[in-house]
Amino acid sequence: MNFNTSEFLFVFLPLVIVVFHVAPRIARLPVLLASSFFFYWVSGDLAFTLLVVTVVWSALMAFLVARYNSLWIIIGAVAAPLGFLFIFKYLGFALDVVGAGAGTRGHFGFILQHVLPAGISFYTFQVVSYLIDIRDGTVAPEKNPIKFATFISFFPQLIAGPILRFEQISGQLDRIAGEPRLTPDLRSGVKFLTWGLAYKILFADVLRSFHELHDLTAGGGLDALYSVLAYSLIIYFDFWSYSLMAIGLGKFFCIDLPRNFHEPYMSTSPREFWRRWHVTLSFWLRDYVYLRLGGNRAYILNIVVVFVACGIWHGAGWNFIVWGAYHGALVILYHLTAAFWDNRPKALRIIVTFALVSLGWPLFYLDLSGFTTTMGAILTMAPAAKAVQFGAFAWGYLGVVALWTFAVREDRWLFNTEAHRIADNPIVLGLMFAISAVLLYFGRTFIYFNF
Amino acid sequence: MSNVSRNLDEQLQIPAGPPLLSGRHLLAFLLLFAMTLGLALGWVVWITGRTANPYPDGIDFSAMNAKQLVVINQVQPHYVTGLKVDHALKNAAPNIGAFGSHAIGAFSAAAAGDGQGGFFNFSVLHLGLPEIRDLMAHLKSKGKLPGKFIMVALQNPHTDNFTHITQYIRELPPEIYLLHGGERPTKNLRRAFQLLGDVIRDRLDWRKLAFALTDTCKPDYGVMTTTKAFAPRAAADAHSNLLGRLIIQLQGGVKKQNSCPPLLGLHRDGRNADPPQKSPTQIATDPIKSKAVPGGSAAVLSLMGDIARIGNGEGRRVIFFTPPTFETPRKSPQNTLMNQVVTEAAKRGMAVIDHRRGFTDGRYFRDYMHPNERYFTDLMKSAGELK
Repeated sequence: MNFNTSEFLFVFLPLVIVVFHVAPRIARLPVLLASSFFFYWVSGDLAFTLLVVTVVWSALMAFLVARYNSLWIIIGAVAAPLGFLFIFKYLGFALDVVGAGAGTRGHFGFILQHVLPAGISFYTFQVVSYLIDIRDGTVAPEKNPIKFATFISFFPQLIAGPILRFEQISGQLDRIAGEPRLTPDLRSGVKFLTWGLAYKILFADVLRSFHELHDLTAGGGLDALYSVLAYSLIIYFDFWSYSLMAIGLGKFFCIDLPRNFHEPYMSTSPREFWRRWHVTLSFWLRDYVYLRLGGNRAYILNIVVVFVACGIWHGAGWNFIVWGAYHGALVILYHLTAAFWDNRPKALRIIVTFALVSLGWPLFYLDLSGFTTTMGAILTMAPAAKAVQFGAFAWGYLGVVALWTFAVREDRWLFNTEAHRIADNPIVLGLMFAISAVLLYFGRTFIYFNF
Repeated sequence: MSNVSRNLDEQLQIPAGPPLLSGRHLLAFLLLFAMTLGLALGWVVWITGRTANPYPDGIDFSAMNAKQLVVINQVQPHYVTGLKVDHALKNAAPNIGAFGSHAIGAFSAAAAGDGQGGFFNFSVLHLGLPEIRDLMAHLKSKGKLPGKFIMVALQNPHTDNFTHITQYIRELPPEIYLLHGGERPTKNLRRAFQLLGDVIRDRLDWRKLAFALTDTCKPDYGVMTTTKAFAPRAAADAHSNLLGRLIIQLQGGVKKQNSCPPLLGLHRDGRNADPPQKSPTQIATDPIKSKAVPGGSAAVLSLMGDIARIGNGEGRRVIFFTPPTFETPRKSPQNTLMNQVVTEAAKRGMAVIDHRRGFTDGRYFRDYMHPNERYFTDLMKSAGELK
């Protein structure tokens, strides 16, 4: 189910909120779990089954990991969820890499015909971190299966994060199940949900409806440039809006979720970008890959490994591997030139960082051939074979979204400690929600559902 | 404290929000929000309710003449399918029926060689194989399946990466969508839930609101002659005010558009009524997007098998065809998968006409993606030559 659908906003969500808050405290976690399972089951039987199997497997394996502090046990424990991830996300690509023919592919037809289960990369990483943390002794195996299953499948963050650690949410789930009377921060819930919905529909999806009509074979350099800039803003608002809505939804159920984005396009370097973009993934990779490989002791090698892994996490294809390597190269280049770079004017550093990051995004939706064509068109500013595709209206809309991105400080508008006259006004929020709902026609699936 | 814990504490801070309100302040906030939202959406629902379905009583296609069409601009696809199904149930089954997406919209009775009601085009906007299967099952359960030939289009996956070919797009009327056309008459909670969302979204559709507010590009619903329908839209139709201009721009996306989109309609044989093209062109658009459902041929073959089982029998014959759209001369994952579909389907005894390579023939297109009537005329010749 998508957050930006009418069935979610007007049927599922109000119903779950009401049932959750009228339920006796012993039933609160079961209500959250049942609603989360229903939320995911709507996406398909296979995806749902896979989620349940992963939950059951990791819940049981946690006790084995805790009891036998063995490397083989932990490898076996994480092998199953990672194996599912490989089978449903990477098998097709792996067969391509080894040059498997139609006959070989036919043997895997049952698996290959299925669309990637939504959110599998996210909940797999949660499960893996949970099992590794148990081995490290930082968390104990959870004895309450309903609580553990709720941690993995909590619907506000199930499909596109943020990627939670068990210790972040364990205490909150205990509080939900134990406190006689809950006092949810409904005001923040309404606010974050509304702003997230508005970001998704008004910024990401309307812009995406322009972007989708780009004809690379007929457009010119200016069109290609529009395409790159627009996608850069689309993917940001698409993903950030999901996280923002997740934070808001969590508030309705007295769960605080971490902020996954900190105005990433205001970054002054590629390294800073990754401390502001998809923060929970960045720190997952740092804590469970980079540091365990030795961290700064082999900086360049480990950065390459981490960013190629980051690329592969995003998708199965050479384009994603190249994208990861590209970001790794940017971070290494910055590392080597930091003394020079950090003394440049801040505005220049922000612009260059944004440009470098934006030039990498087309690898998310183009194959390598299409990517090189796009870059070539931008570099040469090739004239369009047909008329220029993006007119003043499209550029103007892009400009408005860009202005918002770079001019509005979210710490003041969204994550403020004192009510803002506009951003916190219930009438403004009501109108924004209504306008977004009326424009749901433009609604698209969240891009990160594919990852 | 471990590294992991320290990182969490320092970097993954829970966001601060405005101070938690309680008591009267919170109640006032929630009431104001709910009232604003309720009033705004209630107003939209009230207005759009007047244009939800312009044809609640259906249309008698058989009473139309060759120069008339039914206007369907902005009519939701499941209402359009409903019009066609309603017509099929109220009339004798045609000899030949065509099923597919709008890509076969130009498939006409003339192309089928039968202009006397012996042909009907059941195509709807994005109808894919699962919904074609359900639609055919529904017609069969009512004894209204086409009597001789059932032509089923396999949308070339280059256009949509199999999305419309193997998935439900929810463009069938609710009774068919929910009941699976009588094949599996189980109440389907998942579908009912999704359908409920569709109904709400339909009532909140901004375009219907725009009609009511400005009359911008609002068509005259009903049956009209092609002469009137395809006459240049009056300047008054395209409002010069800011809202009207905005609506036109949003409707047209990025295309340079300073007037209303052309009228859409259906002829009496169910085919799409399109304005005459001055210069039909064909462009071999090279697909640049890399996504395709790997191994999707298995899902397509399974659906084709279902359709063939429903359609074949009692003198009927199901013929699948791939229209020449959006092709590429180079090797592509989509082409590879479709090759597997064509080869395997033939092995299983299904009739498949593969016209993908026809994309190089400009005579077959009314624009660069959609085959014209001439193509369907030649298609029927190929169908007649099948053993």
